[in-house]
Amino acid sequence: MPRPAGSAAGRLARKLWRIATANITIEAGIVLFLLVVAVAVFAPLIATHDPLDQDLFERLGTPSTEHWLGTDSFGRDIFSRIVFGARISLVIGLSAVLTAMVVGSFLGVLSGYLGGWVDQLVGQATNILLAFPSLILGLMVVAFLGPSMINLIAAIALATVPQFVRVARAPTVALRDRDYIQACRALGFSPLRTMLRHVLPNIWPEILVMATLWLATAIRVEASLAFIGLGVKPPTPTWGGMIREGFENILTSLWLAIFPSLAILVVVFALNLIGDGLRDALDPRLRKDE
Amino acid sequence: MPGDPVLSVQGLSVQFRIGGAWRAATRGIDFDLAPNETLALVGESGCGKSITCASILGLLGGEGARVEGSIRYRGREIVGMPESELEKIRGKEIAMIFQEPMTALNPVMPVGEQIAEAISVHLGCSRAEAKTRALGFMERVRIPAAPERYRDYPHQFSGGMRQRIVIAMAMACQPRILLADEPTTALDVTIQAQILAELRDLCANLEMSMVFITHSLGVVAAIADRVAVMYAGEIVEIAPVAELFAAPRHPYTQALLQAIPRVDRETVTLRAIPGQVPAIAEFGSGCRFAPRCPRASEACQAVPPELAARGGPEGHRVACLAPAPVRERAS
Repeated sequence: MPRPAGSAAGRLARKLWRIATANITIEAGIVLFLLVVAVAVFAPLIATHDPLDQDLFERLGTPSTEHWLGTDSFGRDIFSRIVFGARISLVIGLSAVLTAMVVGSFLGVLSGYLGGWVDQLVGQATNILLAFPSLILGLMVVAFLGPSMINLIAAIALATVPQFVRVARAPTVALRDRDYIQACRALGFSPLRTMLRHVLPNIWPEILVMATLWLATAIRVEASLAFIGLGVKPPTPTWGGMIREGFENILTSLWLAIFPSLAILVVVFALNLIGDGLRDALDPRLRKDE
Repeated sequence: MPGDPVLSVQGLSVQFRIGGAWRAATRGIDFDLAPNETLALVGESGCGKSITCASILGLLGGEGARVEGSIRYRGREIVGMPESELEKIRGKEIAMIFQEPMTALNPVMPVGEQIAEAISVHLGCSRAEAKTRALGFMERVRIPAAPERYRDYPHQFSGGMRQRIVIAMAMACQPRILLADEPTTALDVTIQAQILAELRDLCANLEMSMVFITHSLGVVAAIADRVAVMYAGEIVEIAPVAELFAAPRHPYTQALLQAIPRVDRETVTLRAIPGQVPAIAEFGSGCRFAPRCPRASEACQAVPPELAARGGPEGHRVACLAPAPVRERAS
């Protein structure tokens, strides 16, 4: 049997690597997603033009060697705007989902482990939030707080939190009566220690799968909000905003809406590949124990 | 018994809310535990052994459970103690070993860290110190190549080895009292004997008292100083081990001993006890064994008999209105 050695960080890295290479679906998804991340990180190097540079003589230009994906109604380079738009989508999506993951998982574990009135309270609040589709909820929050990067993140996080509460609570309830969790109490561990050190490490695979799937949704919601004019304010390039602009000229310049839509499609597809692959890889019934 | 008892249980009654009514799962449990003493709680499933243990750690309570009576650990009352105080006693002063070694360990945490965690929580020492101590206890419970196995996960160990790790976890803070809830039931007989010997040595070396729960009288004989026989939530007889095996006085104890096959006697027909343990809702007000007892009289149905010497030596008490007469022991 292999004997894992080294630091805790090293072991975690090894474990993540094993999961990341568990099947071809995850690998394909990760490669695709990392490609998008690389585009966002190195946007200034990849973009062929300044995404804000207007050239009123080149309005609504068709794809050419100068403007690979054409230009929009202000004569801005679509390719460069998509490249920079990746930053907005990823930053908002990742921040929102990370926030929701941390808050939601903690609340879910708390509610499942403690039960009683805590569970009632968290459960009711979760149900209320779940009653709204995430887009509608995000819409309400942004309409109320006004569109800004932070508010968008908050809105999407709020819409996603209940998903993590649910996915963390169910396995916690199942774990609560296991001997080794009961033993934590008998050993004099505080509820907080038991939850963080013993419950959470047992349920994080489920949470991870949820996070990748909801990252796709978060990016879609961000684009949808931008589409209806509640995204990050123009002229900052966002994919949703670009689709909207393209939509206004859809009868004459179809590519304006098509290319940013394709960008969203690629990201969502990559994340769903990862999520599906993870679900297979982490399913205990399919997991091969070493 | 020399010295003040480390644990003194008086009139312990645990009640559960079942279908809207409070039902007493145990009634009037009384016993003392002396320093360095091993007391066995024997009885069939559901007689209240584990509940008694759980209430000693203050694990019961909250919705649906009610604990009455008194449990004093070195003079401090456990019943009603706030959770934050209990956390300091659990694991450090009073530790528990669970029955099932396969499920008592966290599957995603290296075993060494699980032992070290209890140490660092209660003794507040550094990680390195906790690790050294944990390794010391892994060696103490005879886990071969302990340093190499420190990072291994529970599934890489056999059942007997896992139970040793569970024992090391419980022992790690050198508690005064060890509550062992059927620690050998899930193991095969040879491993069982090894673990019992291990527990006996550790208790002696670390000056620990132990409450040992089992339903095997053979195990009782191997490990205990005194034994309390429980039936339907009550202690029916409590006596030093030799005394109880030589001269049982309660009809239930007698019936239990008659139901065990013995290799040192001519084969006789083993006798079963007629009837069944009553359900918790069917307990009468009198002696709970009366419906199955060959010596039951009208009086037995009326009031519960108290645990008392009833003509025998002070250390041998029995809760029966018609106990077997005290036999002169041939010595």
